[in-house]
Amino acid sequence: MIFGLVDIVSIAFWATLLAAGVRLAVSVGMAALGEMINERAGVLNLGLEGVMLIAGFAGFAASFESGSPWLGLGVGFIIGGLVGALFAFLVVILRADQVVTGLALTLFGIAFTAFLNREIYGGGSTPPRAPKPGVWEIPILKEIPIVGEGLFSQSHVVYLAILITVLLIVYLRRSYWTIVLDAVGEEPRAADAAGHSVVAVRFVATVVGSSLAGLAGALLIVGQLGFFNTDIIAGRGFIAVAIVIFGRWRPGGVALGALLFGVLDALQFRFQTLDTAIPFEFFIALPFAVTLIAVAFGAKNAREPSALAVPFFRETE
Amino acid sequence: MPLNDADTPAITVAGVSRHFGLIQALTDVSLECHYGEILAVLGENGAGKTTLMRILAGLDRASSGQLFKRSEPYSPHSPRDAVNAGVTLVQQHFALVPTMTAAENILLFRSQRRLRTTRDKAASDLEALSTRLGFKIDVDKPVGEMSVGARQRLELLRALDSDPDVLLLDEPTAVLTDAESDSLLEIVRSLAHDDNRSIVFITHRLREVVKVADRVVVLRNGKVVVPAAPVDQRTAAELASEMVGSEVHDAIRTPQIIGKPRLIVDSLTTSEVGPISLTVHEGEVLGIAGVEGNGQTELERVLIGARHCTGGRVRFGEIDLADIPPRRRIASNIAYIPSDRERTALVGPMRCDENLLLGRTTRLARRHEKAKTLMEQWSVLGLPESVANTLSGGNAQKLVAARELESHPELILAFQPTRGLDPGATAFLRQVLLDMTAFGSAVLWVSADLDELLAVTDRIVVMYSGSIAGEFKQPFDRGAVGLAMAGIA
Repeated sequence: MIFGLVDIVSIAFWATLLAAGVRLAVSVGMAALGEMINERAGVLNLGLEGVMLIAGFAGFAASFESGSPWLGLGVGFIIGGLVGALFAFLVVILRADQVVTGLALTLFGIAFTAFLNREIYGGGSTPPRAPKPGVWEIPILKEIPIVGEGLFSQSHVVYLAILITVLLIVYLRRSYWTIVLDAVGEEPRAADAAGHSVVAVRFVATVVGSSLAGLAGALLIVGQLGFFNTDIIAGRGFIAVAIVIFGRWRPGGVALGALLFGVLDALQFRFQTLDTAIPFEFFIALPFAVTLIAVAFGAKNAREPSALAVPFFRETE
Repeated sequence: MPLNDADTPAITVAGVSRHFGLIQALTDVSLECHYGEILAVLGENGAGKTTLMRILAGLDRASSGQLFKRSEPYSPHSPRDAVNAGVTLVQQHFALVPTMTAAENILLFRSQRRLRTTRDKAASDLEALSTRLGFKIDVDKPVGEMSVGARQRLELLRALDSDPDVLLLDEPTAVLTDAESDSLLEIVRSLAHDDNRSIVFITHRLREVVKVADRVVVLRNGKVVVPAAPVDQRTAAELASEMVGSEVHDAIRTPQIIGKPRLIVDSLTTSEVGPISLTVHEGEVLGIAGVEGNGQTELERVLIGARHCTGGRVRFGEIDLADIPPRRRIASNIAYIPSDRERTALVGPMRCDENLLLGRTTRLARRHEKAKTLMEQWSVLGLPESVANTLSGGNAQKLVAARELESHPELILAFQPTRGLDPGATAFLRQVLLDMTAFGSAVLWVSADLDELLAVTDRIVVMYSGSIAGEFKQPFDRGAVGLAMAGIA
């Protein structure tokens, strides 16, 4: 415990914690941004976890076979989009129940990737490792106290994730498409009356959102871990859904929520190394529990898109 | 800008019919509207006005008949087609996104070729247009935070953004106060007479027809009952009786002995309706007449305790009805026949005998036997074990009546009890409700069907814009009730 107390007050502790937090936020944040795009169009995708697993596994396989992690990330993005297209076909075009279909997709993803992993890579406790993208330390900037290590001494995938987040924030702020997207999620009849196809917008939004979720899976598995294991996403897809609520369906808020989760996750790893009588499972559960509490209290006044999970029918009268 | 061509009608409807399954919404409707003219389409709810507008705006297709725009055949497949042809619709609902600002809403409606238009351009266009029409609008405020009047004006601006030569207005004043609607009507008038646009104006409010329209056509049950004629040649009383119809119905209600007051509604108000004051006596049938959407649903929700009132009281003996949960209402022997039959009265996927138990008892034993007797007694065609969904509309309503009226309730709250039922079931339900008064039941009977109320009630109060617009006693003066329903007291 003495070790812990001394550690907590030092600047180095915080710098390392933030750096680890940013790393751990990358995947869940990207998934949350994808889910946010789905939900703003009125599509609730609880299959996020499944999309991350399937796309992440495909990305890992591509990376392992080719030796190129960047190819793996690209494959993750594309497979995510394809799985999203299947989901969109079911819930947007056939108007299947979004909650049930999403959960089915998640369960399918867990089992399907476990199966493929065992068939192809043996599924043992020492999985084969694929190469990871390198680290880029930015001179001077990385010397900035506390934030330097977290933001400017990271793997390439962290910069990629930050770049995509920034581009998305700017794009959603400026694009005409945002208005159509929000109209479809808030008041689809108004969008319809304005001549925008509700079904087409929802389909595209679901595919784009799932592509980002697929990339999120690949960021973790290909970009950060370099190996695959059964159920390796471990609930991060669902945390991403919670983070969307915490972030009030805004990209900035979602990024912040992901960072909060990442830092909590980093913190619990530190706690696990402390010599306490508390079982380590308690610490593993901690970031999830705190995130859920933050969603329950922090987002009390947040209002979800009015037409979330409501299929669209053009009325006849 | 619209062309000035006095002889060619801007829009022509020629023999248009529309049916939904077996329901005939429009039958052989023909009309035309010229440039610089306001044509009012007058009719009650369900007269087919909205269906006609939706067809003109590309939201629906006619089953038969033709449309012409400046003598050219016109058949819009989508709202976009209609806008491109210069026809835009201001709908009653759903055309604005409440979380977006006024400018963003305009942007949403701009056609693809103007996709690059920025928010700022939309905002400045909007400001210029509103200034020209003589009112102010906050372009950066989310629509959900605007007053209903401001929202309705924005709807109009939104429709004008594409510079249409034909403007379709579907009950544009339905949710406005008199002052707000007057200022809107002023704008509408100038759009037709100064800008030379052609305006088709749908309404059930006579006052507005008389105020702004140049010509008026009356629809009833999907048919044109009076072809377009200049408004100044018609009287309000004539139009009122043409709108509500003049079929003679014999009163089936014979005068009764009326007892003590049973339900006293005393200056009831909510954020949307009021003040409403009325009394229903023992053995009396009080009818509430009015075009739908004038506060009847609000009244229903307050009376059954589903909505809090902001002022006033609803007294039933010692109890304040607005304050008690459904369980106590049922225990106080008050029957409730809901207007939303599908969702409130019955649980569709449950069996008939189970539906008969809802709210009545917790004992499941003997339900089948009891239901069998009850269903025979109330001539419900169906089996106790069949699912309520499989009953016809009439039989489902009889089942509701059986459950609610079996105990000879002291007070019956009946909301649209016969709406949409076949003539046999309608006659049956009217008769059982009237029979209840012989046992001393007080009946509050809300209906949009004026003929029904004239036939079955002892007194009628008319609801208009959320408050009581008049009270009438037997023998009823049909024309006077019609005028009150149309907002001309």
